[in-house]
Amino acid sequence: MAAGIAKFIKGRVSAWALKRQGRDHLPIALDKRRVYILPGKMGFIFAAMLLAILLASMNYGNSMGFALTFLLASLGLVTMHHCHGNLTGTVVQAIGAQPVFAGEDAVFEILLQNTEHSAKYDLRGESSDYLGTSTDLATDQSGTIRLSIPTSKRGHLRLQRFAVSTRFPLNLFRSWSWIHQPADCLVFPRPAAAAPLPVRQSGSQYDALAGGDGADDFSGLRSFRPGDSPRHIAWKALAREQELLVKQFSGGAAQQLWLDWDLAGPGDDETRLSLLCRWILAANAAGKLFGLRLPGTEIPPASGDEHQLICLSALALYPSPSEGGS
Amino acid sequence: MTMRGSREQRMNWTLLGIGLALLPHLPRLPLWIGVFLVTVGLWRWQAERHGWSLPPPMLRFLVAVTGFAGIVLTYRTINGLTAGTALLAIMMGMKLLETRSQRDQVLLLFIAYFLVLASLLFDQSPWTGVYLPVSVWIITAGLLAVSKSGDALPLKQNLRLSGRMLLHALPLMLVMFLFFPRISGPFWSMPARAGAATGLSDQMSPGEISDLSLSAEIAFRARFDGALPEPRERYWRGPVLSAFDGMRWSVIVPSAQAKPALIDFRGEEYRYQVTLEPHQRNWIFALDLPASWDRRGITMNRDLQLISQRPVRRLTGYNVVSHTEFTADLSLPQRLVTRNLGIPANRNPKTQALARQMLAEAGHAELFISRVLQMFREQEFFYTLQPPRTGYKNSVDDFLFTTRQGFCGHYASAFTLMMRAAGIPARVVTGYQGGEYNRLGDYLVVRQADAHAWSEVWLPGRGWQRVDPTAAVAPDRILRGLAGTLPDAMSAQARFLRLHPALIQMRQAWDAMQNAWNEWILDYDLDRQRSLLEKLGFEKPDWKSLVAVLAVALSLALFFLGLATARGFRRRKMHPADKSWRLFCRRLAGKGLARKSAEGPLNFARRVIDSRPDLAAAVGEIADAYIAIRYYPNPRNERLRLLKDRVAAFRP
Repeated sequence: MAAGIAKFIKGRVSAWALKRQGRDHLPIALDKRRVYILPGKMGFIFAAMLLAILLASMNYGNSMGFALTFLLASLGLVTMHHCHGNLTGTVVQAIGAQPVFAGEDAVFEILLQNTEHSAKYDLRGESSDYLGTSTDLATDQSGTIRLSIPTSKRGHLRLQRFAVSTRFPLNLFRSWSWIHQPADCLVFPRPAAAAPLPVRQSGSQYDALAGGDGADDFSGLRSFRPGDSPRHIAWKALAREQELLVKQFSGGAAQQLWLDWDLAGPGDDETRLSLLCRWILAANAAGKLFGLRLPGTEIPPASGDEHQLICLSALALYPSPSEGGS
Repeated sequence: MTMRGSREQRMNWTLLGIGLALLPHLPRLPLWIGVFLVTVGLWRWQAERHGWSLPPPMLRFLVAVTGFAGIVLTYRTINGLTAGTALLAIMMGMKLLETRSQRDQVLLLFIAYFLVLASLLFDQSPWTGVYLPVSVWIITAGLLAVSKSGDALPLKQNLRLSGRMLLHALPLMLVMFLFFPRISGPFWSMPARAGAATGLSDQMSPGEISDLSLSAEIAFRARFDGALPEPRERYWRGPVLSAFDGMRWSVIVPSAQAKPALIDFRGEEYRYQVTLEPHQRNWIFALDLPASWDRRGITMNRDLQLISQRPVRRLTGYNVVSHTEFTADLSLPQRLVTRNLGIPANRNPKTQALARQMLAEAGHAELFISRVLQMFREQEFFYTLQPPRTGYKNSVDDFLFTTRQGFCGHYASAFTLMMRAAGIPARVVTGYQGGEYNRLGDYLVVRQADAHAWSEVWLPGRGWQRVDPTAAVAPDRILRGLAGTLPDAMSAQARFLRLHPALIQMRQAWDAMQNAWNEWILDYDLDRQRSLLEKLGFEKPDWKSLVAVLAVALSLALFFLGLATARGFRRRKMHPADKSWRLFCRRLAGKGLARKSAEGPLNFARRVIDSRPDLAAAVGEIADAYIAIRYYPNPRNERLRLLKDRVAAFRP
């Protein structure tokens, strides 16, 4: 019941904040109008202690006790201003997240910049349910804070809004600023348990051979392209101070591997996608040329991390019957 | 900095804050608690450094039970300020044995603030004016370190940040200190502290006052608005003792319904302000005899003594107007006549007989009084702080006829008894006589050593008359104070302190400071607040006007605080090259070539040159100079001058 009410209030407050501020477009400077502040739990404990000190001072008519009470009360008020000032003047430059596999944490990285003359401390990323890491920023410095959110389903994990908050100094107040800039994290399917790559299936255009010796037939060097697997880099050549070269292997038709939707059956869509995901990882790790075939999509064989990313994205975004990304 | 380093630093801050808060309590706490706390503190410090594991729950439980039992055994209670503080200290030590989380450390430091308060309840002498800000500063720095997540701040920065916050808090605190209505207690009963009452008591047996004569403790200070009264006029009236049992004089509490005495004040008036040290009794001291006073809750009783409604538990200030010449009780009610004639018939028979005989010889009261004083003056009576003991039943007989050595109490006692025996209503008045003038602070200090006892006799047609038999024996006691009379009575140390001129000056300087502290800080209360508001132009100020002033002053202070901390207010100093560059960009923007926010100087210059080839030379030069100054190491000054000149001349 109480949780329900809290959730309701939270929802109304979010809606109000969104209506008040509108959608945001990074970069955004956190100015006074968008920084909120409220006392935190420690603030209330501090206030209770102040009340006790005040009562004791009154009871004993102790002038220095009054002085202590007032000094601490003033300190609390000053803390409020400092906490607020610690957040204003921060610029939220960008937010983004590397793709992850379902079950892992989506790690949103938020790039902050301090445009002010004084240092900022303990700036923290927050979503409505999760707390991120914090960072200190010296004058004119940029820094990254991370906000990790657990994932369960493949697809896009959408962060509708996030907050940058601080409790510095003294943890008595919490000031925060909501940023209504949606951010996505691509979530690949959860890889199935280690499974052998598909072998020699009927209906495939080529034979799919499990890692035979032939795959390592060296056929020459070419220059490095982004996405090439590091295991193929010609380190010896690099050591001779030549340019960054990549070893090429004679990849005949025998080494072309088709990872096919149909091969991953039987089973429901998600099981197939999980298995395909595992195959893609295994094939790329083995340095193979592989292609991916999904109903309605075909990605021609290639190799390298860039190719793997394309294939995994295709799996992540494969329409599910009950369409509902997280 | 490593995680480990930060954690260790947080623990060190916690220990430092707690230590500072506990420090003033240590001398008051029993030794075993002090040893326990220091041991636990040192152990925890090392444990954090070396990563030792904390004691198991069973051991902690044992320590807790032992500590609690120790408190109960030591104090026989867990109530009250002393035992409560000890309990808090023990609990802190036990918390240290299990504290791991930052939250716990924050709570420990909150308790440290509370311990600072507790030490102020015990002692608020001037040195606390230093202790309070310093301890709050250190504890706040600790709180800052402990509540910060991630890496700990360097020590210096921590102190600087917390120091700055406290400086910002200072004006707010001042406003609250001045205007927060000082409604004060006691709201709940305060257990009496050890050694509660000091100074005079409500009874006197000869010799008792001499216990006080060695005490340099201050009874009160008095600041006069005009001339000081002569030393022989400085009688500070205290408890009036009317009951006598043969040895001991004691107070008969006058009934509150009694009609007040009729007093006719004459002569010069003395206006002065007294700051009375707490002595746990209801007595208010004033120059004999007070005509008016300003503090509520003070009344004059039927014995002409000022009485406070509540015991004086804290430093109390009040203004009094006194006249040293007065006539009181021209007609004395029969009830009081009887009371002031009462003597136990079978005690001190020789004294009674002597009195009757002397009265018969003298013929009338006035001559009789002067004969008695003459007897003290001319016969072999000695004034001493260490008189021989006298018997209980016939103490006055013993004194008058055997020992003949005594202190003010002996003389007042003997004199008053003789008056009563001769049918003259008389009573003993105790209080203080004299006081040391502090030249620096321009006030009189009256110490416990100035405690005195004298007599009052009632004569028809003249009312109550003060007679001080001690003055007859030792006139110096009255004229020059105790030190003038009895150097042998002082300890060597006290004598040295009193006599060495440089030391006297130092002592007076210290006392003047203490007095200022008392008057301005400790005695600042609702009455003072009222008079402050009156000075500010309020008519009939009450707590409501205080709250109004507080609200206005606080809002103003908060407004300025907001300005001081608003970051936008503190404009960052712009690099001179940036200033020129901005001017350059503004001029181009005026021609429709605004720099995009994501555009660096190089790209912007290229775009400008593309669309305005005619400006190529000037734009190129300016961009090159700007880039060289802002993006390359060690910029040269000529470049800045060049940039400024070119931009100044730039007219697209």
